[in-house]
Amino acid sequence: MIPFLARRLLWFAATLLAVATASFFLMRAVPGGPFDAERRLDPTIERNLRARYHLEWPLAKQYLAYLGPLNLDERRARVLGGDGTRVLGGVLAGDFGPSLRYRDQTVGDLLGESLPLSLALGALALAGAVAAGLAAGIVSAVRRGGAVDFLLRGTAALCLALPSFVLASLLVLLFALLLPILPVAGTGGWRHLVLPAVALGAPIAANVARLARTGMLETLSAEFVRAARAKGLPERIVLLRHALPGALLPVASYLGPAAAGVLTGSLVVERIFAIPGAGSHFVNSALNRDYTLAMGVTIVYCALVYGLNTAVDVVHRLLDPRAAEVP
Amino acid sequence: MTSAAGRAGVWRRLLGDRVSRACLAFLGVVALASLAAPLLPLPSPSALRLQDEPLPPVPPWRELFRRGHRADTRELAWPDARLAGLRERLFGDLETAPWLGTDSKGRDLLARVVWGSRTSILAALAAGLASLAIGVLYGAVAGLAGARTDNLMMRAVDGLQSLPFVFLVIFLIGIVNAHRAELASRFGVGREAVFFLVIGAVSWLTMARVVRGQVRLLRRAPFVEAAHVSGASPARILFVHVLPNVLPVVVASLTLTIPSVMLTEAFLSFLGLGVEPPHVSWGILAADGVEAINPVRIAWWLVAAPAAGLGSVLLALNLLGDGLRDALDPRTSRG
Repeated sequence: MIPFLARRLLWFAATLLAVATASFFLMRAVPGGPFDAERRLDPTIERNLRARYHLEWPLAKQYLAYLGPLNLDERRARVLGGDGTRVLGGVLAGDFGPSLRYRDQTVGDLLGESLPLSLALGALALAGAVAAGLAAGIVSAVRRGGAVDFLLRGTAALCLALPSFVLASLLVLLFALLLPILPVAGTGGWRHLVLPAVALGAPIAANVARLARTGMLETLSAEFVRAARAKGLPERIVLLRHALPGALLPVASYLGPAAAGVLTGSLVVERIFAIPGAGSHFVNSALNRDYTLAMGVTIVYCALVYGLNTAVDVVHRLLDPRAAEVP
Repeated sequence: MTSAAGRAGVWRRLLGDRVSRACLAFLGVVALASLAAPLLPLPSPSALRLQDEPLPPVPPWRELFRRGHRADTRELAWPDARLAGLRERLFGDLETAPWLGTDSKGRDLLARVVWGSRTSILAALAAGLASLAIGVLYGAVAGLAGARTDNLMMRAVDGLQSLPFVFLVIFLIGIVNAHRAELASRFGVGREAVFFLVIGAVSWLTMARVVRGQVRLLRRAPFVEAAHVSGASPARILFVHVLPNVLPVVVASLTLTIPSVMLTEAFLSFLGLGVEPPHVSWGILAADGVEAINPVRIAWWLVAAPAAGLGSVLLALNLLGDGLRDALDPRTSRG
């Protein structure tokens, strides 16, 4: 387990470094600076702006300053000839620099405001989707071939075919306008999170239901389940204690991609429901060329997905020791 | 599996399945309609008729056609221009009534849905071609190469795949957008071309992985060793002996890639990062639908039309993919 985690950590660091490097050089490789295409600025203002964002530094120095962890600007570490008030800086020190668009805020401030909201929505969607998907999958497997099974599988197929942004607008139409029981958009109480969470979670619930159904069907026909039934155990115990754990494995390994799906889906769902989360910040930053913010969100989301994938792999290894033997 | 008889068996099993047959027919109709879009007696998808409100659908049994078609204002490339000319001669100024309603700028929704399907098909083509050209070759080479090369090539795929691609794609497209005038003048590529290139470039990874796994299994097979012993060149082994045998997994993988790429295209266009007007995409239509949601007046058709288009095509593709995988592997049974 330890070497596995160490290897993952190494890959993680390499991946993040690659992402940060690639996005930095992509951003700087394109012709013109971030302030060029706007309305013509006064040359003095433009010079000041460029100085504030250190755009006049040589590229290598800008890169090092962006990456960190040693702070290279005028208040840099004492060893580098500064006044030592800020020693650390750059991505490695968790500082993504100032936002290019919201000029009085840093990327860190913006993420601090918006990320908790996105995480709450994502966690709610994921938890709800797994719970609903598992329930549907189990019922579907037990009632295999029946009307309930047919209905549940049809719903799942539909949820997989409808992208979350289409589902979101249909939900708003149905449950906020035709039947005004939930708010259309915005933030406030938990009621504001219901529709976005359903829109985000539906495709994941559908996938979980499919995996759980297949897994349950497999374990239900296994010898040990027949043995449990032969012992005269009540059906509930047979299903939940004997058959279900085996069916959970494929669901557990799907959780990593599911989390990535939630993060991706949040880009559109936050936009539709006007939720000021990190996802909508990201889309806006890509649209109005706020490179530092876009890079910050990219790096944070990469880290989240990678961390979740590793956590899922660890859980998988704990559940099924055979997984550890495959390199 | 590679013999003509084997392929005929796959076709027979696929067509024997009622669901697959229906999906195939439906997708065929959609593909034909989208190819022949300029020929159909549809109103122009881009001609504006400015008005205050979107008009609700007029069902075809109430009004089938109306007169007063205005020719498309957009520049069409040659096959489309020829088709449009043919349409002029066939139907004159006849056009369908707004069967699906119009949007807030007076553009016919049915025409926009039909023209929008072209963007989805282009995205599917870009991803399919990239998967076949890059993915299959890369996977096959990695599978046939020695352990060291294979390891290196697959770690590269691993690394690329561990990135959350949508974020990078959006980042990339954001940068391209900001400098598209420059790109167009210096390299002569439009934003659409870059968009489809990016979509193709990210969609071959799964294919490479799947093909490599299969080739790895095949390379110790007796017929490959026999070809090797009888002095066949590596290229001949690759193209004549190995690739035909990975065809089933290639097809199965394509049936998963194509729907997901169509989703990605709609997703990006929805965010305003994909194709842009005057081009139409189902993602743009869905975004229009969201914009039209307001409590005063519910223009439900603006939400329902793109939802129906995307939903039905993706559902048909998913079902067809299931059927195809079953047909390719006779051991799996539905259940």
